[in-house]
Amino acid sequence: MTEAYLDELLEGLVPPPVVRADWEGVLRRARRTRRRYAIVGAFAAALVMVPTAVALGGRIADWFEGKPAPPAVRQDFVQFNAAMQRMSAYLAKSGFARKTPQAIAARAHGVLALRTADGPVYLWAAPRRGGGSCWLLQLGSLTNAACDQTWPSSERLTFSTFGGTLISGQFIYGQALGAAASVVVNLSDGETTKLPVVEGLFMGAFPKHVHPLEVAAYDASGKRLVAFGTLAGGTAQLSPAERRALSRVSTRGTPYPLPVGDPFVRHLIAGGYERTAVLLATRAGRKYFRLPLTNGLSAYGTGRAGLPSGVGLIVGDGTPRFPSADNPLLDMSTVGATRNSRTMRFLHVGMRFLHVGGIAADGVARVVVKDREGRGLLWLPVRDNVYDSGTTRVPAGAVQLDAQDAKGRTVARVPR
Amino acid sequence: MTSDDLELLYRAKLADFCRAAAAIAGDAELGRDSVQDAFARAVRKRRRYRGDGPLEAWVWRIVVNAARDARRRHGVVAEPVETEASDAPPGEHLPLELLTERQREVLFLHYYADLDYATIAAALGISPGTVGATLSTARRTLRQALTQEVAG
Repeated sequence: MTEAYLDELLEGLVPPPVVRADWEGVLRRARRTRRRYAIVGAFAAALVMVPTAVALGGRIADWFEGKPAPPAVRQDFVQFNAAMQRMSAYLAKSGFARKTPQAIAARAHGVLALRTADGPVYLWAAPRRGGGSCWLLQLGSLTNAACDQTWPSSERLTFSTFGGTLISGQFIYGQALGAAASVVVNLSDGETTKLPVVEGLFMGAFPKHVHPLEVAAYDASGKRLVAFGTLAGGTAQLSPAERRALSRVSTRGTPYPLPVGDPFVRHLIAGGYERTAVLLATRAGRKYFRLPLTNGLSAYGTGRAGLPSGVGLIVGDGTPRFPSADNPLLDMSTVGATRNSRTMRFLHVGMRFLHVGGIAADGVARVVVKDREGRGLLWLPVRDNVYDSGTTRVPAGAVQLDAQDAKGRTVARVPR
Repeated sequence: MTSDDLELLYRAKLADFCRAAAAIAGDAELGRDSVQDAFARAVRKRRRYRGDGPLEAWVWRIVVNAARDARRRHGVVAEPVETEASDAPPGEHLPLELLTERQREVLFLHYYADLDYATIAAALGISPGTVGATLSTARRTLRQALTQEVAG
């Protein structure tokens, strides 16, 4: 074991980032934090009074469409192309004979813009070589670019969300092809927002504590073309008792003293975890834990048989909080990329479930493993708040999980 | 010290700040966000900088705190999500979970930001001697773990 090898591993662990300075963004944040306390009361009152569309969707700027992209954005597309070429070379080396898409950066132009408390969010597009399009989402120095992987595309509606680290909320953006003129998003708090489709792309904003339950594309006459959805109307449509059942994990479990001699466990204890976890269940040798923290909160974890520390993967308190009506499933499945993976486009599309397991709230009766068309492949009952595929091989086409209540209604979906 | 000094430092070292913050936060986006937040804090609190040490070390301290906070706020992923075991050559996984938080931070600041011991010490509020010893222990722990993994 040489120092050089260690250096090589460290180098690969966090590759040098491609960053663009955004000093204006720094100054904006500095000013915003000063103002935040002063306006928080007024903002809370305004949220109650403003019409839903404004609160959910931000304000879309129509001046932006068709505006030629500035050099910095064109350069971002150029960098994206270079990254794609590197990926192509890597794929070829790994035996994947696939060409990655390339954007025509010189023809990049504006498509949609949203004004938000984090600053403007821009969606730029550029034609893709060979047909189709590429697009780039920009918020300050954060950018995310993607392209149609094939053209004509077999996908009619695709979308992704991001924004866990933003203060103003989350964003949904994606592509609706064919005759789609608008996209309607039903949110988990029962609200609905309608987004225009421009050049096959759409973008909208929604609050942090909710997630989309259904995304549907409509043509200009209002005909529903295609939809991905869960519980119509959102969990807000459930009775208070049903919502409460999605907000608790009642299995008492058994105390599980963590092996304090293990370095990882010592690291956990130093990080604020209690010395004794709660073992909720063991499935096919895999243990599922609740991990109380000294501050009274809990995280959840899982560990394979034979792991000295007992716990291998820990999922902390996320947004929305687990367990809650908006987040009744804490999935700890193992996923891997497939040969047809489209992870360059939307991180979750094309990922394959290798093993399915996790923690579910009381109100979840089963977890259904589904394929891309929404067909059920595997039905996993929830017992002791745990679901697990055990030794059953997860079918190759599995790409999503639906959490269903006892009445068979889908109350949550992974990926969201 | 003015915000111009901070801007110069930001523009000169942004990639280093983002890389080290990403390592500490455990996520590239969180790391970048932490750097933006840290510099915003530095701009707001610039009058508190007394000039008794290098400006860069003062800013690094804020960046490290912001990245640490971000990691805690967004939960702890203690072990990389596994992929198909057969795809992973032995020894490829760097067992950072064996290191303490301080050891990891010293390692990241030294490796990803290329900081000298004095700056790391000032950023983490420890002595330069402790930096050297911590770094040495961290590297030895990783070397031993990797050697065992390859041998096993």
